[in-house]
Amino acid sequence: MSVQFLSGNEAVAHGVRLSRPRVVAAYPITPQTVVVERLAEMVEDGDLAAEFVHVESEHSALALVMGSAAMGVRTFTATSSQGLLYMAECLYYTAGGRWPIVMMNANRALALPWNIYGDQSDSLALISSGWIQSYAETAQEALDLVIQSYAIAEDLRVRTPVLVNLDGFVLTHTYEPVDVPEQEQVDAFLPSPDFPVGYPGTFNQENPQSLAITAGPGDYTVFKFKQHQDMVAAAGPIREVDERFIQHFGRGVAGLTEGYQLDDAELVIVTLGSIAGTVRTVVDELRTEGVKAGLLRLRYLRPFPTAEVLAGLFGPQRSAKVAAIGILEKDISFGHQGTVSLEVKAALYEAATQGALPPAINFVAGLGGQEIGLADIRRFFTALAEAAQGQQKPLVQFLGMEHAQ
Amino acid sequence: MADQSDWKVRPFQRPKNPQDWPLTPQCESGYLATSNSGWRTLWPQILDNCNSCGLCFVYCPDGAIAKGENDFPYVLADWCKGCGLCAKECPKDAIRMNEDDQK
Amino acid sequence: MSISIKTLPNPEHFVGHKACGGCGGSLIVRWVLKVLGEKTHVVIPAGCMSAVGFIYPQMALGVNAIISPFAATGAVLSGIAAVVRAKGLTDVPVVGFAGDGATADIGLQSLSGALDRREKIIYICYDNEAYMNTGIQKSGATPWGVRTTTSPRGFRPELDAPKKDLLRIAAAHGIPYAATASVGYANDLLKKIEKAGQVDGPSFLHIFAPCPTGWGCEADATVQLGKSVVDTGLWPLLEWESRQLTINRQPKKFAPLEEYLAGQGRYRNITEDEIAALEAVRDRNWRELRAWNIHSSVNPDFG
Repeated sequence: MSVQFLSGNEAVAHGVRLSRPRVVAAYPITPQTVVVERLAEMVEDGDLAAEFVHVESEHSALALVMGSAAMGVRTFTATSSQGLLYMAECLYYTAGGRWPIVMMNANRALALPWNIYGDQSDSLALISSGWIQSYAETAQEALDLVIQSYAIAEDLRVRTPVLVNLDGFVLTHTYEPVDVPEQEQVDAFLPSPDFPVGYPGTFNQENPQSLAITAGPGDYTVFKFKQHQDMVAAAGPIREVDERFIQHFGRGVAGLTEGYQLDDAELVIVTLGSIAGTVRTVVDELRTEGVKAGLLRLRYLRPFPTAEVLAGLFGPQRSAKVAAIGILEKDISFGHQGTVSLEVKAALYEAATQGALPPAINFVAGLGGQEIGLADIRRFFTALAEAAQGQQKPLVQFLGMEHAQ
Repeated sequence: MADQSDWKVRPFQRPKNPQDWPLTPQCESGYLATSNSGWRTLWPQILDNCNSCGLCFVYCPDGAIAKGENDFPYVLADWCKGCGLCAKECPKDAIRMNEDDQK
Repeated sequence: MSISIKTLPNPEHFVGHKACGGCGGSLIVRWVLKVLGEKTHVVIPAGCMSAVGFIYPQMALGVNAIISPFAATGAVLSGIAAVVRAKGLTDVPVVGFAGDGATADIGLQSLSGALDRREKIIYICYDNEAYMNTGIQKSGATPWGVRTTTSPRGFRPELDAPKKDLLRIAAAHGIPYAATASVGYANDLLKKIEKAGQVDGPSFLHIFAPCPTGWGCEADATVQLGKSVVDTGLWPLLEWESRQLTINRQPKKFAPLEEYLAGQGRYRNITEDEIAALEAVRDRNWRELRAWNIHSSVNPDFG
């Protein structure tokens, strides 16, 4: 293991290199480009024995690696924003076909207006596409998630593609020291990048297979039911992989969520991605001031960790009752709330029978690369404290638009 | 798959339990659960003046004409749709499209 | 032994499909797989051939096959070919069968990418001149004057606007082999499939494929129409190889267009004056082809 000073994008590239995909195809889009540039270098330098295939669009990038996956090999692609939406059809397609593709997405705002900076509207728009979705907080976690994603995706119980999300620029372009594992360590952790003969969703030279077939109304429902069931059950293999990763590499987080100062927290911010680091800092500050603030970070949005969210907020280990919940995300589902807020609130409904739920406020912040500062997060906690005391608050609050709300 | 005669309708029982379904939307290539015989109203009768030139075998879009002894053609009842291309293209007029009596 | 209708192999790889009677597209798939053999890997985008060949549990292809997204035939072919190359597999032809809409319209970008990547793939466009699977809508390959459900009185742009010229588009990529063919000229077609299979790099075949259902013709007219479209000069049989154009069949005199147009409901609105005009367009097209043919023979580098 060596410590290198890497950006989030470079950390992803190293994670991919160490996972030894046989085919890499990606179309350039800011802020993802560095990943594919590094991978192209690695292939040219002989550090990665993969076919690096140039493509003419994102749609083709994902369709192409799907063809390669059908040939029974590990693959990688990466995109962002408009590119992710351009390949949207292929996301549903590859998920329905259950190919264990891993894709990195640099979370970036969607046009219009044009904007190349980070927000999470792109991946959240495709939350129902059937891909497992994870969100990295740090470059280190990004590298680790890539390796973990292959182990999860290729697990016979899962067989579902994984989208690893990094906040555009804030994480993709920010440098930090990253532990880069040795190749032998990763080789011992992951199965062979050549899938065994007969692996589901692959051609077979002895017993030819027809893939990506048509199914009539009754049959279609069964395939989709199984896809849903397996996605729900994927939470188990994800935890197993996390635990195995910790044992193997000596670092990591076990579980689809991560709590920080959570068990006695009265005011909790639920969030995802790199902004969690800023929230941690504010939680520490508030704790010194006697405010019982806490953080619940969602590492995975699909499968949605309902049980973990409820345990974190209402579990028996808690020493204090949660008085107010803030859901902080870089997204808005126009006409309702942020997608993550809708997801979290749907999970809270499961807990509604246990008594009155605390108020929950959706903080929509960081759209189009808007900076979210320590002071902003402090204000969010203040709003939560006031809501906990019974003050009426807007349920959806846009950062920077307070004067208009 | 080998010759036409290897393409047979095989019974198919949908698994009752979803757990027993294919792990992905895929299926063994060449698995045929239903015949196309119900499509046709006409049936190609191959007459004695056939010289086994093989054009009917070439032009059948359904692979429903096979070569028998001395390459003399015969029609596969499961796959013939009765389109009549074979009769139309036969240089000897040795195929007659009749009312279907092979169902 | 060179392939011909006399030597067409017996093994079948496309049986039990649910295509309409007399379907030209299905005849092409059947022939191609007979020539290329059982190790072929097939990509078929959304369209007639995928709709009729893969309905669970009825799998009409006997070889490895996959349905691709409508726009992505070229990309999926490339993904398969990349692994064939990486694994050093030999004798694994990778072939796509896409309709005219999937090729000339929605899949043109992906086709271009695939030809540009120089993978060893065979891309076959079976051209039935409209979107048949969705119910006969006009495509970028619908000829002048044809009735479709989205051109109910007959598609009539400016008379000299040709349907998209896929052979020239493919040739413009500088690929080793591109050709046109027709189900009406089986020997010519079979030899072109064989040649495409032997090319080291991408090859493109644009094949005339009558659709009795969509064209309003008899189910047994497929091969006959495939002949007369060539004999009338509307569908030249061409090969673009080593940067040279070959005209495989040069009729001394074109058959009258009426021979081809009659018996097709899709042309029933066409007038005599329009037929005369279409003949003029055809003749101009042939003058251009002959010039291209001579020019490319004299100086292939600038063909």
